[in-house]
Amino acid sequence: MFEFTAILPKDLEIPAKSILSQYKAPFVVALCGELGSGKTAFVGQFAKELGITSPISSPTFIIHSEYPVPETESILHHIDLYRINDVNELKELKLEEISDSQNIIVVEWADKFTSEIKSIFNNIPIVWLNFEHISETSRRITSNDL
Amino acid sequence: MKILAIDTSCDDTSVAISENNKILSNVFWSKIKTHSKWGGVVPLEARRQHEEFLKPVIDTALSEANITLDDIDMFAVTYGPGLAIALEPGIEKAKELSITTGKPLIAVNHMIGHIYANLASDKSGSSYSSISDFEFPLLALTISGGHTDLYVMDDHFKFEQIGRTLDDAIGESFDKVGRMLGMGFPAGYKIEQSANEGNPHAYNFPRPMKGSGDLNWSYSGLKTAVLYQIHKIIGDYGSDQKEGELKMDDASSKLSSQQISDISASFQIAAIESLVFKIERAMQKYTPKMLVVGGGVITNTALRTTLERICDNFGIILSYPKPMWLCTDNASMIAVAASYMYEVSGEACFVLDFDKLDRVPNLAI
Repeated sequence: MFEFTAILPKDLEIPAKSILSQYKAPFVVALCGELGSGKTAFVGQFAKELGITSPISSPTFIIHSEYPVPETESILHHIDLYRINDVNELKELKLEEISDSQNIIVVEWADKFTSEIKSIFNNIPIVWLNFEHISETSRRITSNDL
Repeated sequence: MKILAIDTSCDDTSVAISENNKILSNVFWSKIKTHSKWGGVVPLEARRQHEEFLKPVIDTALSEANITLDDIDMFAVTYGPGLAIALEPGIEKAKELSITTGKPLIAVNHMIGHIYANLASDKSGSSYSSISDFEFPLLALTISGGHTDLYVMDDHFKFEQIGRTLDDAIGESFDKVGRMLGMGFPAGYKIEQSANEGNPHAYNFPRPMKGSGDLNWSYSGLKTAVLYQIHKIIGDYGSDQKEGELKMDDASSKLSSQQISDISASFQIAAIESLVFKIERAMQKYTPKMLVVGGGVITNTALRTTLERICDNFGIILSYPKPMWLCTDNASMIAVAASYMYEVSGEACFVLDFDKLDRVPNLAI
């Protein structure tokens, strides 16, 4: 069990480093938490730890962005389920197609489709990460997978 | 040159016919203006709609322009950025038309389309914006639900990106704040209407990145500041509720309409001032002749007024497409961009290998 209080944004590197020390591609990071709880900010920090230099903007509009991970064969897939309404739409994203090979997949709003995420990515590890508001500048981050 | 352009990057199925940059017809089909809980496009339905209605929309565009498919000299299509599964049917249809007619196809970046929408004119040749051509160097700003980007252009299609959002797009922040305030989707216009009744100084929201020294923006922190302000007002913040239970869906019902208007007004001025601060800095640094704006957020009247004022101060021409339909997603801007691509680079802009033309959801300029 991983639990700590993060001061935004700098402490977001702590869960990012923790994940990268314990998991090797392919794996999924499933992010859960309300609007403004720090999910996209975490992905930015996570990408930085992977050596990705381009800024990570919110994929809410286009739903799925890809970033090559420097000096590896891996691709960071940044997926945002904010605008996905039901299981049929989720299927249309064809996420199973990215679940093999050397991909690292980060899914925002994963708690909207918990069981589907588990079944789509049943062949690779999933790190569930929960974000909760504590104050304007701090968040509680918890995970049973770290 | 008569161009038939297709744009299916989002929820509208749009087809336009142009004679160079003169728009002869522009047809939209959208039956899925979704007002779902989560807001925004329903990707699956968007694709189904494009597949079903592309042909009739093309037929309508041709008949409104009083021409037939035989009169078309070239085709143009958006290949990104946008929703992958929405882009696909448009690209497939454009390839099919190009193959069956033997006429060339030009693949167009949707965001370049938003910028070139400023050069569209109506059938009689009257410009839809305040300009008839670009004067370089210029600053090009794209502001929409997915983009907040700033470029310097030294010539046609010569873009140097000098600014961008590091997280949320400005239009996305309007939509997400709108959701917190119970406004549904899309929320940009509703926030503006509500802001007109509110006090922009009621709440002091941050102007993120103002001191960053670069030309980038951040809208995520502003969104979060609004969320916390809402919870401060309704009094469930800092109380002994279970942490992590700041739920916004039921929060807006506890706000008075004056509070909603004050939040809208205070948020809107913070969003606009953040944007404009960096644009003024870019004007000082690059001394452009024009500021050319594209994307749906420029339909916001308060933003237009602010940009007009600063462009006047700097002696710079401000251009944005005047009709609202030309600011939001449409195929006319794709036709206009394609006509300029052909004018500038000739046949070099034609798609040569159809197998290699694929949708690029996060295509950059």
